[in-house]
Amino acid sequence: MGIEKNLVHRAKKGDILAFEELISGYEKKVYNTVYRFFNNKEDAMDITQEIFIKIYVSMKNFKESSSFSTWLYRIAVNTCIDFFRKQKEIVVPINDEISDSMVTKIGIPQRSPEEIAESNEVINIIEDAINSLPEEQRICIILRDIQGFSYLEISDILNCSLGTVKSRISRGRRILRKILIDKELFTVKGV
Amino acid sequence: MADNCDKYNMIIDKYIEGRVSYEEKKLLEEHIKTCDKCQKEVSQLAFIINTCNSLKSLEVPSSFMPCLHNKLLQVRSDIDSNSSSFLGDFLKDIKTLLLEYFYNSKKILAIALSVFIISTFLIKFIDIEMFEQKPIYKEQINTESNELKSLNKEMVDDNKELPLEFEAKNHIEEENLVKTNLSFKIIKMLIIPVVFTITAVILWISKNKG
Repeated sequence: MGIEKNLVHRAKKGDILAFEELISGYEKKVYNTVYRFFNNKEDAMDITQEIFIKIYVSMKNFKESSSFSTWLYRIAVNTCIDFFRKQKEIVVPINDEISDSMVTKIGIPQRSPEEIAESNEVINIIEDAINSLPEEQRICIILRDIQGFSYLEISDILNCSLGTVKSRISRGRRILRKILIDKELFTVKGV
Repeated sequence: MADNCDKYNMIIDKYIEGRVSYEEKKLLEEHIKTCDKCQKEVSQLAFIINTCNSLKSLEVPSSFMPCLHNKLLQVRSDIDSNSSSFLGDFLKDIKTLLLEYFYNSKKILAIALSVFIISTFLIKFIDIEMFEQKPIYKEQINTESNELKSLNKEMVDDNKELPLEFEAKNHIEEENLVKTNLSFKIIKMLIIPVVFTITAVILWISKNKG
């Protein structure tokens, strides 16, 4: 803990080597979170770099009241959402109450049952389904079900209540289920 | 039945994640024995969560850290260049440009000299009040020194022993007063031309820099 504090102080003064040492170990998790959010390796590389540059520039604003990792993931998530909003051509209102017709519309492309028999294909379908979730539910599902953060950690990162996090995750999972039912994934897998 | 099922929603999430209490677990297991809908929901959500958990992490590309390092160096140099003060930058610019002009052009020198000479002469004509003070001041000094001399004379008349030290002291005080007065006038005379010259040089540099 003392080592991290020392690195934080040096990084706040602009020490690049200290900063690189400080973030080593986080880059993989951040890169994967970004990759799952955008489902694109090139975007993931560029946005992750952007995130770490943002963190380096904002180091002086890090108050040390929260843990460095929470603060780092908060910047990562906010940057992802900012990029996503910029990328979005059509602005869809963010609403927890997503309609069934919308789920069908934003769902994955049609595939035949034979095609989805392969396990890789199942993963692709689930990745696409996650990618079609509204951003707030998507980030919660990524942090919880893929990256394995606790509910409390997610509420700290997203700076929202535990209840909101639980509700977003629960709702997100049910939207995923609806998409996968529509794509007949469970019929093929016999679930 | 649907109303009944809704209350199991949160328990289902906890059940799949293994965070459910013993009582909740028993309650849900009893319910799904008789409810096909919830039983399907449990198995399908469990499938989704298990698949998500099993998604492999990608390795960060090898070029990631070197690329980030170069970007950080660039950011660092940008921060350093921006952190220098406006005044510091301005003085730096003036220094560079002055050196450049002194070595490459004599125009700036000619302008500075002309402005200085012209403004000095203008001040001489305009600031009459300042020159009018000169005789008044001299008269005052003369009166004062005459008074001192007469006092000395009285003293000499009264007492034949002349206080030489006292006379010398008076002379020094007189000289000092004239000197202070003169240096004050010179400073006053020079301030305005110097300010004019500096302004002209700054304007010339800004114009040429732009």
